[in-house]
Amino acid sequence: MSSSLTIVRAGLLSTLQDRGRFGLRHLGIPWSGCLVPCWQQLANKLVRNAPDACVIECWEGGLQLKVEDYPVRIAIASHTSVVASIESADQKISLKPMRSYTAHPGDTIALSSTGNMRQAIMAIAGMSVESQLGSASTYAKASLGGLNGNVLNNGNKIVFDYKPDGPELTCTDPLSAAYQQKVIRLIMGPQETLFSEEGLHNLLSEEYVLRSDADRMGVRLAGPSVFHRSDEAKNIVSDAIVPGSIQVPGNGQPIILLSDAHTAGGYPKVATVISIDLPLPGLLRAGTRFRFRAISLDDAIRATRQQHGLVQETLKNMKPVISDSLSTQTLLANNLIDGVTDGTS
Amino acid sequence: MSLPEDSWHAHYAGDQCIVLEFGQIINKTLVDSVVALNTRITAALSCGKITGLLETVPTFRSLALIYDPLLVHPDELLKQVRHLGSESVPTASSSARHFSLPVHYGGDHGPDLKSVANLTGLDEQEVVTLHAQTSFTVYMLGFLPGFAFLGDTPSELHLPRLSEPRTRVPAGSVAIAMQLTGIYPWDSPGGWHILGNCPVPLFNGKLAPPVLFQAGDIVGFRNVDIHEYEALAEVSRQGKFDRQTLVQKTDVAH
Repeated sequence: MSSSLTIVRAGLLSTLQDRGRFGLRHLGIPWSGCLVPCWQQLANKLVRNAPDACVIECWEGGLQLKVEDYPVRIAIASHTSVVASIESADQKISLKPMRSYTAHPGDTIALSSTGNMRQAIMAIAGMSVESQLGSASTYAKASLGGLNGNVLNNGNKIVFDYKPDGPELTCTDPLSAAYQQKVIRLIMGPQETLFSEEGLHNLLSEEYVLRSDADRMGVRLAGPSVFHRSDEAKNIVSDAIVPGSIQVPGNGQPIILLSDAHTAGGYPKVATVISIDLPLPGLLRAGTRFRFRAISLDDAIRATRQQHGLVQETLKNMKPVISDSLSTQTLLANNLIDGVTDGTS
Repeated sequence: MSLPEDSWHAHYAGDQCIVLEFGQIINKTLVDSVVALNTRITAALSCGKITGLLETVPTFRSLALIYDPLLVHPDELLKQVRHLGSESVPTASSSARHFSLPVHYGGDHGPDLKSVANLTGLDEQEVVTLHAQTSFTVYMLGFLPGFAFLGDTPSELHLPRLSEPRTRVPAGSVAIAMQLTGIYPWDSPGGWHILGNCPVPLFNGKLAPPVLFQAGDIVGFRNVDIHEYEALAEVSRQGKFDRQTLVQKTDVAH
């Protein structure tokens, strides 16, 4: 059965994203895709979607959806500080992240605040979004993906096809240790030789602060200047950019580029954030302080493979939810009270 | 870190990209080398001869190889690429296409034609003739989805960027700066001198590929009068423009 959710409020910036639109960077088209790929995979798995399916990436919160004719299974992947709920006529349940829930016709699903992080992910079971050039990811600048090439807007409808299939699920967050991480790892280059010794020393030994101006293209940092070697070194002939590139414009303040960044640019790139640390600068709040640490490519690849293993492990270890509200209804549904009733008969 | 090679140096750009750097300037010979290697690599990729490579990004000066670190170690990828250099690879898809784009120069559609004429000491007609007679090469795409950087603009027309960039350059604008000519597929801010406008759509997200050109293609401009411009713009607005009519011929490489 096919039904829909109505976007009552889209919030600050909510977009549909999947893994991304690959193979078109040579035409100037960025990948787009979820900034936190492991959250996307886990949220999907929690509602029994394919891990690479499309989800809603919500910045800051303010997202509200109304359930229309049929029930729906949803899950939020986020930091534990997220504020979310399902509200029906007679009750309001607070939602925990990394767990799926069933909402019923007439209910309002709210992702009110992304809490201590800039984004959260919501997966909807059986969500169906048309893909464009190989992906449903929204890249509004070129009117690609999303709903008609656009970010979510109030009044939009999201179509899904959900058949109730088994218990709600829960899992752990493979990023939970990373939030405490005060170090972002990088690989030097490709243009590190265009920076002065003092500039490189600053980058690798001083503290940097995430600024509030962040979006899906990139996040700006404030800290001791990463000085260029000379004025001529402040601009280069355009060279390829990848998500994670740390470009340094003339003012010496680094910018970490994310999924929607241009595919090429003329600022020198002093280093590149390793792929598994890349969600952090986009996620962590303005004002967060951290240091950079340069590591070898081999160490980065080892870390990437290890993290991949951890995410795969988490994907395999989805646990059915044992209800924490212990209502008669849920106890009956989970068949947990057999033994208790036996005793009174 | 960089690994020396004959025509390029390899630089790591994180754990999923290697940049093969051919030089640090804009120059047709350099672009030709980038495109030639890109053609070999993408041909090898399409017949399954390279493992772990996801996509390539040619620029003026470099070729970025984006790979999956779960599938291949970058040093192994480099070995495969070097091996290509010494082995003949079928080049089925390696063909430069020649395009002819209609452009209306000057007037409202080319607001900088007059100032370009003043700055270069030419008259407007000479600027148009020089520009429209040139056979350009697509050096790279980037800056905006589908934005084509073409070279070389005739040396008589080389000018620095505008000192005050415009906040809005209309889609279709054909503009010049230094030795380059650019075509804007979208409305965008921009600091180049706008000579004219191309009325046909340069980006269509409903088509695959969505962009007309790729690096290495040859592009010429056809000076059209305002009537033809308006007629083409109307056909385009109705979504009836067939972009294949812009392809003049295709070189088949051997």
